[in-house]
Amino acid sequence: MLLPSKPVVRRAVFAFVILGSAVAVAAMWDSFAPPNACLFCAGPEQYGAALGGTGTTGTSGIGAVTRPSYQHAAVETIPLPGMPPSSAYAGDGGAIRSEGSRNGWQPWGNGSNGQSFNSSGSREPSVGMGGLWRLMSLAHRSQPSAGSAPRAAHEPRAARTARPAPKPGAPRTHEPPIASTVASATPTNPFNQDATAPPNPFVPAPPAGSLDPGGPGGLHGSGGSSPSGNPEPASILLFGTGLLALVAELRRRHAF
Amino acid sequence: MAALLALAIAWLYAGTMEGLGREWLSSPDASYGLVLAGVALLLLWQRRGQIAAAARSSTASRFPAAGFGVLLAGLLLYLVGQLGADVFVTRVSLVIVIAGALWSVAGGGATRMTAAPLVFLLLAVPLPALVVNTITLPLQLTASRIAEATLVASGIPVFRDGNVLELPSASLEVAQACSGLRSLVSLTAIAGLLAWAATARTPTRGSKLSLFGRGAAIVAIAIPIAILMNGLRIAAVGILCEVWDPRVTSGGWHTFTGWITFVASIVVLMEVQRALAPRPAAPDAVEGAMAA
Repeated sequence: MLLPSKPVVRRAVFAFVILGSAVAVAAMWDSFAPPNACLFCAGPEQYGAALGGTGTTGTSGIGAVTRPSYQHAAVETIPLPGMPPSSAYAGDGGAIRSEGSRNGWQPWGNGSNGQSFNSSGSREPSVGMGGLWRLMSLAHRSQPSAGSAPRAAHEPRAARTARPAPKPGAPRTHEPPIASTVASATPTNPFNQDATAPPNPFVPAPPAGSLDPGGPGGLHGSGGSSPSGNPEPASILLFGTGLLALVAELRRRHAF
Repeated sequence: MAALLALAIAWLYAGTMEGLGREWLSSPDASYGLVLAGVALLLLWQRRGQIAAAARSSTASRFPAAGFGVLLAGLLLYLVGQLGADVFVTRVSLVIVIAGALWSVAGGGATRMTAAPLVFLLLAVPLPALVVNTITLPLQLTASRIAEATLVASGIPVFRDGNVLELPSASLEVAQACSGLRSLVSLTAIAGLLAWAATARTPTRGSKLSLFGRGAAIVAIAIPIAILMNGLRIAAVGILCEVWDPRVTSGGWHTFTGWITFVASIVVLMEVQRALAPRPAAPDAVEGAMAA
């Protein structure tokens, strides 16, 4: 007889076979992960290249058996279409995005990385194309022009107006590099006022100030506009206190 | 063989246990689970002799079909959790698989001996995000209303705008972390422990059903106590902010008020449990139960 005779061993073998089957199935499992569930995101190979196979899917604990590395990509590092990459992705993400197919549909191509479609040649919006220009600025603002200095068209209006006008008769000198001006000036282009990226819906908004759950509530001034939060202590402190009180109470009761 | 079974379960649930441990260590809302799991393991260790004896006595019994049913149900739940990407279901299935494997190998008697630690392990599983998100906002609003009513009763002018309490000296926001969820889950777990300890060690003349009913009542009463005390905590912070120093809303004072309010909640819970406790049995019955 193949099966052992002792009942407890037989039961254990049976249970082990069941569990072994489950383990085998789980080892072959291709579990759900946000990267492979998003139809609009880039392919998995890009995530693998961009993330280097690091990160896990939060605290889910699912799919920790050997999986392709891209399935473990932290969701907060994955940019959404049309959104700028997060810091973790932007390390080499600029190159990836500029080479990706997402920009390939533009009729003027993406090799020049240019948007000079209006008649003036500058990158200021024309009236008729304002909406489209704005859309294009949304699409392109996250692309860093690697290694190249910003063009004159990127110069904010405030920076240009702040530049002293040349005196009449004075010899023309070379203007200072625009890049230095651009780097220190605040962009005031009305078409780029929303330069901040839209929030990634997969990433919860970071708690601001006193609303930090882990931190203490901050005090704001008299009748302040930003209220102070009242977070509770961590549950381990609360439960530990309760456990100590419970043990003390039970010992007291049994001492009677 | 038991070690092989444990290894198989550990292998199957390695990722789940890793995620669970990470959440216990990182989330202030779920960190109570670490202590609760420790309590469960301690109880298992304390009862190891009784469990082994029960397992030895059940080897001659019939084939434990119910145990294999529980094991299969747990694995099915694991499958559902994996398919649905539901972390909570996957974690719950871990406890059920452990119970099923134990029942299959060691029998029903040993499984009954481990029922309490397994229930504590179940309580240690963090609440699913769906539940947390559903109950957080009502908890916030309830705590805000209780605090507002208490402040008004105390003669402190207050204007409540949703979950923000406008006081003359400061504004208090009952944010998500202030909703009372941490004290709620912690006090409920403490109530479970208290109910178990009270019913397991107090010899009474009541039936098992009445004992279970009392235990369930203790756990159920812990919920309104936690909600009420959280509202009073926020009101106390507001009162202290007005009459003493606005700095009580931050730093160590703030943590201290939260902790002292929870201690008060435990005192109230124990008083309720004492009021619900049945009359002590006759002395001979007590001695018999203690001897057993």
